[in-house]
Amino acid sequence: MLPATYNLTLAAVMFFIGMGGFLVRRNLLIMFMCVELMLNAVNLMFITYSATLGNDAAHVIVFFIMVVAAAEAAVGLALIMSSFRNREKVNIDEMTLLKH
Amino acid sequence: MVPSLLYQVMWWLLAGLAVIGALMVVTRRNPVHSAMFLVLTLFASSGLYLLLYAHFIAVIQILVYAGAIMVFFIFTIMLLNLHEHELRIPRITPAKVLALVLTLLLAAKVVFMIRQMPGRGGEIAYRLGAWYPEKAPPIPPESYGTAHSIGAVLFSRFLLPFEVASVLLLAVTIGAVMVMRRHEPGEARLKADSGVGLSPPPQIVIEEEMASASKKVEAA
Repeated sequence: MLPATYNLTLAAVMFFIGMGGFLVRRNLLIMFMCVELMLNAVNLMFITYSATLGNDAAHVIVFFIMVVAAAEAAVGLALIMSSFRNREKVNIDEMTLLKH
Repeated sequence: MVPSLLYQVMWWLLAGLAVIGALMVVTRRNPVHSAMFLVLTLFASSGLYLLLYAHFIAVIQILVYAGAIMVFFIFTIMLLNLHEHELRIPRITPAKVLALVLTLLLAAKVVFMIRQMPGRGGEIAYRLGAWYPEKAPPIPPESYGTAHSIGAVLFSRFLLPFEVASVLLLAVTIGAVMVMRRHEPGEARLKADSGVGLSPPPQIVIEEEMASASKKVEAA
């Protein structure tokens, strides 16, 4: 097994790619995928610590993160679709109904 | 315990694929391409989990993430039927530049922190290792990361969270169906007349009427 720093750095890089994408992209779907990317990076970090310390209880937490990610994707995509049905837009810069 | 050369090659290969896929997800204009590169990243992460002896999680990753969640995404993209003008090249605004700079700063800080981590006390810090493969942690025992060993923890220590997760999934299923339900025209007002349910705020009714009127005009 490689030292944990390798995997931790990889996870950090993936997390910040996701975070940068979430902040810069304006397409709701791609922002959502960036959230999945961040969740995935956190999972990798959990697994790395788990393997390094030789205790697999963290795998259960990863399991729960996956459950919550699935739930979040289901609700989030349903919301995107129902908002698209009303407004025909997926660009969040154009969703300014509550701004004024 | 120094990892074998094959292990190191596999790690660098999978890590490279994961990072390239992640960059592509963020930079592609077309959401379908982004989704496909996200699948690549998720598969590569699954391989990385295998290299970390997390067999069960690696399989679950492919089944749930690359399977179920990505199908959700693809279906949504298909049903949205995006127009070309939705996919135009984005503008660069000062806020985006600021966001990117701050993200890079934070990323540099975190990577620097991880680099500095070893040598800050005791056995755990040593096992977290440095950048030298000689300091890599030992290989965990055979039973580590199997469905048996995770199930034993999941159904004892984490039984309550497990049950709560099932309730969450049920709530999400109902919630998603409710959000996606198509409202019949006039249904909200009918409910208000019969005193069942809440009457919608007036401006929303007006807006609905305007939307349906504009649709009629478009159809004509």
